[in-house]
Amino acid sequence: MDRTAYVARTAYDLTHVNHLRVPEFGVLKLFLSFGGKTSKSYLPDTAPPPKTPDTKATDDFHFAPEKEKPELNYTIDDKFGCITKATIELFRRDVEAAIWKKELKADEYTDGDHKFEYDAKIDKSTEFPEEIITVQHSPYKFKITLEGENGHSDALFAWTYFHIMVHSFEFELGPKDVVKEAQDKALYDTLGGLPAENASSQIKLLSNIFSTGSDKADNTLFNQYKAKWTDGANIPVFAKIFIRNAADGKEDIPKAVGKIRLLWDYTDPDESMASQFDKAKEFLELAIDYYKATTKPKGDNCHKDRGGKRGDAAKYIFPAQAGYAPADALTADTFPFKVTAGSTRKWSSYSETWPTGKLMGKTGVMFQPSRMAGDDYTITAYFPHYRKPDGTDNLDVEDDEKLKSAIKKSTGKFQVWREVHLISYRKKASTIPSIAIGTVQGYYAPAYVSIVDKSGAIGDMPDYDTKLRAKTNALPQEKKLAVAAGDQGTITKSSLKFLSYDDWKNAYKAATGKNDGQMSTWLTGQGLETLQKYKTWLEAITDATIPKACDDYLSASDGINILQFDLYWEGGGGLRSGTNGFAATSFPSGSRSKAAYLQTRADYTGQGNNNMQQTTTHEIGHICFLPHAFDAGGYVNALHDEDAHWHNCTMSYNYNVERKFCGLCLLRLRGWDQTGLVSARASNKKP
Amino acid sequence: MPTVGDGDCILSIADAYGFRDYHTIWDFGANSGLKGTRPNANTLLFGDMVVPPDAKAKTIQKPTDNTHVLVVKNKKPAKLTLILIDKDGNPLKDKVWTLTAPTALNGTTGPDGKIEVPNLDVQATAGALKVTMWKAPDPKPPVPAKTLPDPVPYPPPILVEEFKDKKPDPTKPEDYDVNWTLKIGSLPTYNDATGVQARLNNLGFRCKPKDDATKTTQAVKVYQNSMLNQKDGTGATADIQDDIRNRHENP
Repeated sequence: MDRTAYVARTAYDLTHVNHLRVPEFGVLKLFLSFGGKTSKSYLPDTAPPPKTPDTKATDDFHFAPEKEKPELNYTIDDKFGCITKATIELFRRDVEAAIWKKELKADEYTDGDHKFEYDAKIDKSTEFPEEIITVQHSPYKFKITLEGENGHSDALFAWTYFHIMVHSFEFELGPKDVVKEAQDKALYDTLGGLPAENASSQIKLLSNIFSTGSDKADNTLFNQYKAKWTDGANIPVFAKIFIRNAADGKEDIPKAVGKIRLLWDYTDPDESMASQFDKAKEFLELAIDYYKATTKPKGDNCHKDRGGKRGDAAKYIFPAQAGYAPADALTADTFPFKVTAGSTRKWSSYSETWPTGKLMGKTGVMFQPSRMAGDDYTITAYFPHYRKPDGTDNLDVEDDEKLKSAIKKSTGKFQVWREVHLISYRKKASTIPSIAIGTVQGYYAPAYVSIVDKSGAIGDMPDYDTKLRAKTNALPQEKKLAVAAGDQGTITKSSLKFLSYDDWKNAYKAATGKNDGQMSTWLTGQGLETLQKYKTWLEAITDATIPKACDDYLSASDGINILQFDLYWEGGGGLRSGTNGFAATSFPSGSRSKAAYLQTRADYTGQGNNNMQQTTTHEIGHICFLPHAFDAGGYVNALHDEDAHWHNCTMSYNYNVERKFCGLCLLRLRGWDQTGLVSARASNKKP
Repeated sequence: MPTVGDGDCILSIADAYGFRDYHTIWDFGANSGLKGTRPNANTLLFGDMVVPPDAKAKTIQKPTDNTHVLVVKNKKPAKLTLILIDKDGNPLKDKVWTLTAPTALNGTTGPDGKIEVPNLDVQATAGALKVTMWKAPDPKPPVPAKTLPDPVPYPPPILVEEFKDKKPDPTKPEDYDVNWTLKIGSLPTYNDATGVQARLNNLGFRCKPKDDATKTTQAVKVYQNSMLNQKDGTGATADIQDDIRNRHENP
């Protein structure tokens, strides 16, 4: 340093001297303060240590932009006015250029203490669209830099650090607008929100998918259900981010969030068998114990080998989304946030927040649980608070332990159910005892099938005789003559009243002029020469007639219709059908999504533990593709638990005990692929 | 009649006129007016008029056939005294200094911070003084890059290397030395603006003789603030001339 001094000689008899000084200047400290907390001030190594270091200052200083305005404090040492320029700059990581700058005025860098209120504002840019500093680029560094002349300085700059931090986040059901498919929109309306932590909610996938005939043993249910719900429902789960204030409290400042990521993860809770009856429980426990510990994540949801998503690396619970640029309005039927799968934790996904626009401060995923009823999920989102310069973070690992220290939030348990509608319930006579629908629903609950009663008030069957006669009048003469005269709507509570065997024979004989010999020959030729054969013939006439006659009573909507009679048919002379119920597939308006069942018995005397509810459950089982078990007609033993373990599946005719679905029926009702299951219980367990 | 030029004081003028003692001129009656306004004979003002008395011839008669010894008294000696002080006005000790002009000297300041040049050639107007004012800090061992703990707490520790803002140039060795050009005899009288400017300069304020009024006013205000604790100083040199004279010249 070169300096000039103007000095005086001192005469022999004088004593004056020349004092010379090289001025020193510098900054002594720079720190933020708010609410009694301060950030740590740093000086270069060349600077003398502060006389009174602030031992309470930390590098953890944080505040809530806009809600809190900390003071930026700095102390200048410049007794001799050397400083010619002073600048305060704000830096973020990995960027050399300051993101904010303030040139101090001359009176702002004089010797002594200075401070100003820091409002956290910043020039608008791509990185800071809301003109405020954000969590995205935290931590930040404030630096003051001095320029001077005529002096020496060992502390031309000082700096301090601070953070903008996430306090927490809360989940919410995203807006319906972001869902694309109509069935997902319909499902959305049933959700009513997301389950709070430790609570649970059901995701009911509407699946009015019904048998239309001989399709009960060929995996049609699985294939039809798969075609309808493919990889599962799409439920928008959003997270709203909150900012941590200086006192570690929670502040709602969406614009201070910026573009950050959440890692969306899920767990597959152990399925509870508490509500399963013992025989089914034994089957189910073996079946769900299928590579439980080796899939990622581990669990007991339906495995990919049974048509589920567990263990299938190509099937995501939070599928990738392209998202779109933040805007003030949402694009209909389009998911807004960018979602990408984890690189290592492949079953998890990252989503980005919107730094501006309508969804500012929020992010989310499209939650796509498997369609398999009974599968359950708990969603946990994590905030990766340390993001490396390359954009990765330390949560994208398989080890769950690494996630434990992150800020996180979990939902309650989502459980997938199938929803089947009971759309209409009519009784021919109001005096016929009603079916306890709740009991029927209870039989289906272990299969996670919700039979939703949408039938409203029980209806009647108006103009029954007219509708019936329209069909019976078209029958061949001998059949037409078997139908009893009178108003079939009132003369019987059964679906059809016939003549007694003798009355019918007499009527036919009179109508055709046959003598006794001719009549006998004719009856033999028709296979109607005995009362028993006549009864079988009447059963067939009813089968062929009633579904068509009653078709108008079916609801126009999808679902199951119940038409209840007291006896399927009856005849003079005490003739009665033995049929308890009939899931007919011959209703003209019946379809893959609309079915009907005839409940045709009220009095079950002599049938052991059988009753209307048992019959209804059985017949709806047929509608839902379940074949008979064991000794019932057309049984398919391969689609039921082994006889040795459970002989009283709902789909059997064994009334000695209350019938309940066997384990294999339950899994098929849940939507599982029957080709991945076998009747032999132990074979379903692996390894 | 001589006029005071740059580097002149009564000592140098007296010497130029052959006077052994500056009092011959300083106490000369014709200079009483000057003496009244310039209380220190060593701090005049450029353009001051000095009236030297007529030289008095001294006649001594001695026989020529003998040897005689005539004793001529030496000139009265002058000196240059500098005191190095810190920002608080305390003497700076242990500072190594080297004077290369007007004479070669070196040393280390003692507790009084003093550098003294005895027997000063009063005609010398230029000096060069080098002082090692500061010691370069010992190089610190390199700090290993901080590694983040596992798991990383929140907020995460600051990783200094993640901030890429430009670091100031390191201090060069020569920045620890100060090379003074000494303008000997050029300190104007305290009670003139230039005298205040020169003293402000010597005491480290950003001002030097002949600076413009704005700069001078600013420097005076800084002085008033830091030395006199006057937050709203006048900025007038006259208001600090006495104080700064004391601070600058009192031993």
